[in-house]
Amino acid sequence: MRFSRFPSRFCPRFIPVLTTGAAFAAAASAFAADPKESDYYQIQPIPNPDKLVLEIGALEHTPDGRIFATTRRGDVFMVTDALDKDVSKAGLKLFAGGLHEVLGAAWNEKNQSLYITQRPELTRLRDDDGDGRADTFETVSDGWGISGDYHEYAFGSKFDRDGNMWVTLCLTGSFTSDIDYRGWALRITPDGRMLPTVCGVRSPGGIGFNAAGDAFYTDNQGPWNGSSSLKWLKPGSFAGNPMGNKWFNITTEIGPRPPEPHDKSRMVIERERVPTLVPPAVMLPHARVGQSPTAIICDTTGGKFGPFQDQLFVAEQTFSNIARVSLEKVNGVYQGVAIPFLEGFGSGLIGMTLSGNGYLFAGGSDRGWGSRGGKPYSFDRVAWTGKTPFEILTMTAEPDGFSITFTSPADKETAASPASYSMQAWTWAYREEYGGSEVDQVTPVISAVTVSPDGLKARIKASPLTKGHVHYLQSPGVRSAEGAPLLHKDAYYTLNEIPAGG
Amino acid sequence: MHPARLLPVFAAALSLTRLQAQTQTQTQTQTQTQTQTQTQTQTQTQAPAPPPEPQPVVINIKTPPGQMKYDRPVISATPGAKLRLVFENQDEMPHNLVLCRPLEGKASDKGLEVAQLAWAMGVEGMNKGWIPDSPRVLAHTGMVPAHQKEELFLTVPMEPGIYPYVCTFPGHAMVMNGELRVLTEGPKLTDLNFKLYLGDWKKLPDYSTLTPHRSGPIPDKLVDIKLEGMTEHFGVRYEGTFEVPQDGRYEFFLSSDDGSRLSIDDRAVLDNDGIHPAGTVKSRSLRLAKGPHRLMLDYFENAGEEKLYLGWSGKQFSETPLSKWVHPSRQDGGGAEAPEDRSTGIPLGPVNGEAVIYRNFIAGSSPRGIAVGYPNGTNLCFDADQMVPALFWRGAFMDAKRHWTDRGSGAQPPLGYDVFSPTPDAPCLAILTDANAAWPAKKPRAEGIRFRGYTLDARRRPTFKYDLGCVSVEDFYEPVGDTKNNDGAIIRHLTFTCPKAPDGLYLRAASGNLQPRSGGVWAGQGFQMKVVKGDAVLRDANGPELLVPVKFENNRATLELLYRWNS
Repeated sequence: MRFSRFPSRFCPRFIPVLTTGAAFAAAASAFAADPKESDYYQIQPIPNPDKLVLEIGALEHTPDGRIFATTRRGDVFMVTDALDKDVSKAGLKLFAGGLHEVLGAAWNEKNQSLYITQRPELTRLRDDDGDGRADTFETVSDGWGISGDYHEYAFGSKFDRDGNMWVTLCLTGSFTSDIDYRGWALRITPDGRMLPTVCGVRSPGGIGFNAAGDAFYTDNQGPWNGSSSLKWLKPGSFAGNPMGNKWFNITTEIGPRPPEPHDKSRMVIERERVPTLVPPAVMLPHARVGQSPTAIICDTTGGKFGPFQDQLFVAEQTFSNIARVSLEKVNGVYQGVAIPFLEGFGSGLIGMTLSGNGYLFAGGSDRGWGSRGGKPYSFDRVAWTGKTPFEILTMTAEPDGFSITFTSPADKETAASPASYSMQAWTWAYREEYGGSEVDQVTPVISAVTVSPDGLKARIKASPLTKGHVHYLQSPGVRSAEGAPLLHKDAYYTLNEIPAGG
Repeated sequence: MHPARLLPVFAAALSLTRLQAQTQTQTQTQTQTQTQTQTQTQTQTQAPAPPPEPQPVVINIKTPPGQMKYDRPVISATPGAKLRLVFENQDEMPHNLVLCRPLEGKASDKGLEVAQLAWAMGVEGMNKGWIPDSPRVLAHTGMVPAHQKEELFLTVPMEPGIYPYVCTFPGHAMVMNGELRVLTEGPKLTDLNFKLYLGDWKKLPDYSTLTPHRSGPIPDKLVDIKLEGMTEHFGVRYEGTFEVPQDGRYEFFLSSDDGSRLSIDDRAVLDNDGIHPAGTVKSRSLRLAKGPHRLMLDYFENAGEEKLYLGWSGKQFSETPLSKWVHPSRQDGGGAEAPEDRSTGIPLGPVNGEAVIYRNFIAGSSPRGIAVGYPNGTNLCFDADQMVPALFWRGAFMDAKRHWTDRGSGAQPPLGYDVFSPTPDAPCLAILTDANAAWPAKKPRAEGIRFRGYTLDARRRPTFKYDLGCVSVEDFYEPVGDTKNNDGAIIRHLTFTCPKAPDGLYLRAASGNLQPRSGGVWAGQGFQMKVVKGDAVLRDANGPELLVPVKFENNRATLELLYRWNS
């Protein structure tokens, strides 16, 4: 991890540090010009000449190319000319103010309204008189409780395939559920009905949908969360933290109340006891991938943002970076891989959106929480340079190992050599106490790798596989057909289910 | 996560201090034993009690809930002092406290170097309580879980300097840090005399042309303005000497309420003249030769508060007060923020003749408070749980600092003055079965009423909307007059529409002790109100309350209420 974006006043002595992939720095440095993230993706700051306090909480784009940026201070800014090739042309205009910590924004093209999720409610904003500022602030739903605790954050989604909005409600103080539906995910229907949908949420950081339209949210390390993760919001399911279960008493939308999970257990064990418990789809290993995951965005640009169509990008507050997630469904449960994508943002990322023409917008703030970026807030555009990085594109589970695909043909010799890879596996205790260390370590042995004739796929035989464990694949020895190493050599696969042998 | 409490570095740091302490105790004991033996042989009296252990200085540092900070940004101690540092984690997440050695040759880095090393530990950091293997780590707690305490015992190092302390849990250090100032006292004045003058000045007079009311030496040689207990219209000239220990640069610090001027060797070096509070501390660095120097300090007080602070520092000693009063920013815990910084907020108010809205936790309202500031200096907070104007006030609107810095916990009261609540503790609307039925009791959220949001007019003034059954309510507040002319007021316009008008719908316009005044005006607690359009019915069902029946005509009803301040 680089600290080069730390302002020098915070970094009186520069400390060169490598965390992920540190063990393989030597192997990678054998190449004169190792690939850099900035060769492929460039972080372009949105100009802010008036020094507006842009503590971004959510970002959204409209079909006609406007970007809406909501802030923790309760403002909504409209960004004009944000999709111009020249980022310096982008301008900021106040669309609305006086809102209460806005952490969700979704544009509705039909009624030309911006739906924002603020702490007390979901609100429809519309500029009725055409002066560029919102006049209507219609409460769509305020059906959830707020007790006055600062930690009762409400994160809102974009619209789902049925036109619903999803809201995840952080626990009171992120530990208890002092008022209705803290620790739940709700859906708000287009006519404003509130449907309690998933319980077991702890401290959410963002909601998004995968290419199939299923909802996911990120949850932070804490009680019942050994590490942060990406979780599937399967309607009617239990996401793992039982503090909010008491509100089953006041809803008839879902139920019955699931049995309480046992403390100091394992997710794989409790899944057998608690039928509605859905394991995290992808663990985002704490202190490796990040510490506070936030926004989720799916690449549906059809290749305008690079080779990652239908994959998810997950923003990160503490590490000020973005990870990439590729999902698959095995035995009816989502699972998949997390791979580092892009680091070096100025502040802790909270909001993201990906415009149709392939610009990713990312912004956030470190207020009250701190972040690697070091700046109090940041708002950037990420532009793909058009060059395809040599990356692991997908990783999927096999009965006897894993398959990985590459974004471009791999060198068959290095890709087929088991010595090019290594694997470790572990899990976390499923427990009430805050967070936890990696436990139950296993070192699977990679016995054989076969590479497809086109060099795009490698079939990795690894044993043993452990159900419920993160399987950490390192691929320091793999080279592209041109001889370059992988841009990111680390892949963290969450093996909730091992596919049956065929 | 329960990392080991005593990690190698910590153990080493402590064992050293323990070893020193032990050695001292042993030496003392030996001396004691000798003395004791002598005493015994000579007088055969009882053995004296062992010497008391020096009591450690107790310093409490807490982490207030949800603020990601230590409650004490500055603590200070003298070299070699024994400290018992009690670290209490009141936050909901684990924190530690790592005391670091100063950064060599530089200003304090707030412990960020150590925090970055901790961050770089990656996964391993979790197992080691985020304590990096760094020589800068002097002492530390483990990761203290939420609502738990841990104590550190340590001997303050002999080298003066700034010893930062920091939470090394990744991401916390930027905001969660503080400093232990290890201070050595510098020389005080060697001699000090005063001349007291009486007069009403706006600026420092030339005291050399005036006759002193009284004069004499100051025995403790500390600059003191409480010479005759005077509080207004006086001035003092202090003349003294001080000894510079060696050639070099020295810095002088001056702050006063009201004016003051410092001269060294007949040269004016710091000017703080005029009438003002003792806010900032002015400073000036001077090169001085070893030996005695003359100091002259002129001061005057017009009226109000009176304060005077003088201090100096040098390479060999930290800032040392030369006055009896010590500026708050120089006292323990105050160093990071002078008092005036603490009161400086993020004041919000109307701009461009438009109303301003602030939605947040507002003291006196439910958590769904919507504060509105109008350009005429009137303000209100609409409670979107009870659908009542929970608060009215005049003057400044809101200070956003509480919510816009750190994590923003807690409720913020209005920034202005003359706050009143015409209808506390109940919803604004109810359908009563008869005119004497009790008004519904307050629930966390008004039952049967649904908030629908608001629209803004051309001057950004909101009309709040809510529904009670089939009744749709529009609730608009029109500011009239101006607070500057003392005639600022707010007219509340209510419009009710309903396809099937209900019977027995009432609005509660005011409650509490209400006194009738002429012209249909009612005087309440800190306010006056009048039902401009509608009938006012004063009743006493559960305490006095003013109800206004909502009478529909063609499925529509309108009411107008005027709220204003007493004077």
